[in-house]
Amino acid sequence: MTATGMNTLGDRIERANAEAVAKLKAARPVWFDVAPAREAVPGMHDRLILHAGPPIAWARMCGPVRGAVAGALVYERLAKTVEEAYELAASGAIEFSPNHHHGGVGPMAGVTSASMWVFRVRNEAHGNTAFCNLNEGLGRVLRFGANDAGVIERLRWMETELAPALREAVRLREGGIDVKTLIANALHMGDECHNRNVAGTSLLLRELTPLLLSCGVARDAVRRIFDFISGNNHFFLNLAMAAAKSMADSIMGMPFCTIQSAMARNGTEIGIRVAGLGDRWFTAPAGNPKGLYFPGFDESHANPDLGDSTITETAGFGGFAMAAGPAITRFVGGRAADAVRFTREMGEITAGRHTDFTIPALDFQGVPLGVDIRRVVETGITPFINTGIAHKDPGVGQVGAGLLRAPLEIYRAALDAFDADHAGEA
Amino acid sequence: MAERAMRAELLSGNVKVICAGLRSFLDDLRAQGVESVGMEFRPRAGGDAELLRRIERLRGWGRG
Repeated sequence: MTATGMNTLGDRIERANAEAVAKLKAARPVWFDVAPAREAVPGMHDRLILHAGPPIAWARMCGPVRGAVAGALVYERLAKTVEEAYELAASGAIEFSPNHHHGGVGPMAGVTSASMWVFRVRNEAHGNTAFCNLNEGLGRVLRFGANDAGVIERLRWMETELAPALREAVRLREGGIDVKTLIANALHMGDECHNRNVAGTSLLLRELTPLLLSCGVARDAVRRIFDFISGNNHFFLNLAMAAAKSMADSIMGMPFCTIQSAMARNGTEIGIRVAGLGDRWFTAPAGNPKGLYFPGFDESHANPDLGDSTITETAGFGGFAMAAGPAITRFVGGRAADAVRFTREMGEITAGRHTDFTIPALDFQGVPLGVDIRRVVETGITPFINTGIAHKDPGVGQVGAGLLRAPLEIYRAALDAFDADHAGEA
Repeated sequence: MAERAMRAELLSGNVKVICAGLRSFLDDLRAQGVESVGMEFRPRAGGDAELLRRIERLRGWGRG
């Protein structure tokens, strides 16, 4: 309410945004299960392939997403070879849909098919659930567009040994595993929980160890699982992403709210959703990260920005918490001082700060939370994204990691839509 | 007159400059050995008055 007791459109927006920030802070994501996508994902069927980012047809998909789709079709035994898989994908016999349209997310290509198992997270504060596939490691992996025999073999091992064991383990823990606490602790140990997950993975393994040793899985299988998780510093990312999705979904559809509820990239386009604008996407061409490349690769090999992992920034950690993880700059480029600057700058475009996700180096200041499209358009400051970089050709995999900013035009388009939806309201 | 004298006095000593706006102003000062710091400044809504009017309509009593 204003001082004169008026209830203006601006007042309603302020109240909605304050409520949204409170919901994002109160969200309590708990990992409660691992299950095959065909059981856990609403609408999943054997000829449906989910992908990262806003909707896109096969004809416009980038190389790494095509590579990952083809790999998934071979993995699902819908095609015998990668070449046959490309033909099948182009034939119209396969349905494509964003993870976000089914209550989930996936890093990089984000390809999720029916037989892949997914982390299931419940937001205990608001009752909604979300999913994310399991992390395969770095380099030649499906999510970066690689699809050779080694990639498919690893996916089958994850399906037959890793995921069922994780299910047995997590089901032993009454009430599940509290992912919010893991994220909060990891932020105090040098992770930002998007491109640096060393602490998060270690903390998760600490939780899992007694459960895996108690759940009846054969000892040699437990050893392989330990080796896989401890050899993959990004294993925690996918669980953190499922948690972030469950947090961000709690504000989706809130009337009058101008806070971003999703940001995702399919390697061709980047898109955002805004809480008060429901399930609409506002898209623009995906940008090109500036970053650090693996030996033998450079910017000429890079695909534009890709993946659903920007759900972490949407939920109040990830790139917005870079000051908590300055070591990230060794992976994505820049200097340690830049990490602090990025976090401070993001505070200019958010509606609040997290109270549970805090940054020791900034005297335990909360991570900037809730990107407000009004602030982005007014200041011209757009969200930072830190990301892995996939090779632009299908079948190759990861070539580096880097930094970029979201384009202003998607925020301008969202503001135009919000303005139009509320035309005539005082 | 007093104001002019004050201005002259201000510029006669060791001048330190805070530079808001074009980066080239800062670069030129630094090239001349003037101690300067740059301030990131962008006009609100990119200087688009109509866009700013629309943002103001969506603004309430709080910090928004």
